[in-house]
Formats: sequence, C-alpha cells, structure tokens
Amino acid sequence: MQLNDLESAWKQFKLLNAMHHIESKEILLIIEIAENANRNKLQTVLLNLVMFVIITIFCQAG
Amino acid sequence: MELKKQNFIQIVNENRGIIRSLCKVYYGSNEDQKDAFQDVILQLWKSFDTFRGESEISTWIYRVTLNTILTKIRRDKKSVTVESMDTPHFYISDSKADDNVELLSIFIQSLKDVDKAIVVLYLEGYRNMEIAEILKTTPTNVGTRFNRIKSLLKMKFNNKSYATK
Repeated sequence: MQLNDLESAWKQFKLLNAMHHIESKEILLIIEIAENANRNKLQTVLLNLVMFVIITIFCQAG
Repeated sequence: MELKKQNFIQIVNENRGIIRSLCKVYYGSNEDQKDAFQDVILQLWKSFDTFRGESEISTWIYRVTLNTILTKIRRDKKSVTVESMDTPHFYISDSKADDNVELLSIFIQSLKDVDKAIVVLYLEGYRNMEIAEILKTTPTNVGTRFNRIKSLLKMKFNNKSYATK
C-alpha cells in the first residue's frame, strides 16, 4: 500500500467533519472570552502601575 | 457585528472540516476535541491580523491549527501525564466512513505526533519544503521522517490483506 492510496480517505474524513455548520455564537463566545481576559489583564497592569507610582511618590516625600 | 469578526467566522466555517479533522486526529474524547477546537479558534483569531494573504487560507489554517495542537500536546505532557498511551485517537464512529478511512485511522494512530502532521499535509498535496515551512522544521527532517513513515506503512499493511477500494 502507498500513502497516496489514503488521499481519498482523508478527503472523505474532512467531508464527514464538515457536515455540521459552526454557529456564529460559538465562535464569538470564544473570541469574546479572550478579549475580556486581555481587557482584565490590561486593567490589572494599569492599576498596579498607578499603585507603584503613588507608593514611589509617598516614599520619596517621606 | 464588526466586519472583521464576520470575515473570521466565514473563514472558520469554510474550513471547519480541516479544523475538526485535525482535532480528531490528535484527540480521542469529545471533551478534549472541544478543548483543542477552542484553543485553535483562539489562536486563529489572534493571528488573523497577521495573515496577509501571501499563502492560501487553507495553508494558514493548517499552519496555525497544527502548531497550536502540537504546542498544546507538548505543554500538557510537561505538566501532568493525564492521558495514558493507549487512549484511542481519531475515532471513526460515523457509519458513512468506508474501509479506507478506517485504514487511515489505524495507520495515523500508530504514528508520533509530528509524523501525523506530516502525513496529513502530504495527503493534502504539500511538498516536503512546504511541510517543513508549515511545521517550522527543516526539509531534511521532514524527508527523514517521511521515509520512516513510508517504511512503517509498508510494514504494517503490505503483509496483510488490506485492499483499497
């Protein structure tokens, strides 16, 4: 048997897996979870930065 | 919904056969397949801006999907060995699948993770150079692995009475 003999099998396997449409909602949910996580990360970084600046200013004043 | 997201959803849907098939090649349980599918979609979305249309959309899908899955497998193996070695992969539960799909499944199950990717890309019609570029390795490495894969195929199936339809 040659590897080329399995080409049609791979095509058939792909077709079987392409039968069901993916809901837009399903994709949007995955994207939005990632976007929210990034937003939260950015907020945390900004908050930490502000805290760092405030603490640094107070320490210098003392 | 913004245009970028609409385009992305359309591209994912047009290539859902590739994405789902690759997840099934590497993961046995529905839960793992779903998990891998989500990781792939996320990675495709993150790299969507960098796709400039220099290659075919399907090539980009293969590149991102395979590299995401291979990275995920390496990461999972590093953390805890959750999955036993004999976990069945590439389930053929559909009654519409013919003997050759079954044969492909048996063969792919016996391969190492990177070799599975090489076989799939070969069956898609990619050449060694392109496979190496997609999998971020050298053509020599692909060639060596490919010779081993072909020997394994001969050894596994030529001595048995597997007939292709």
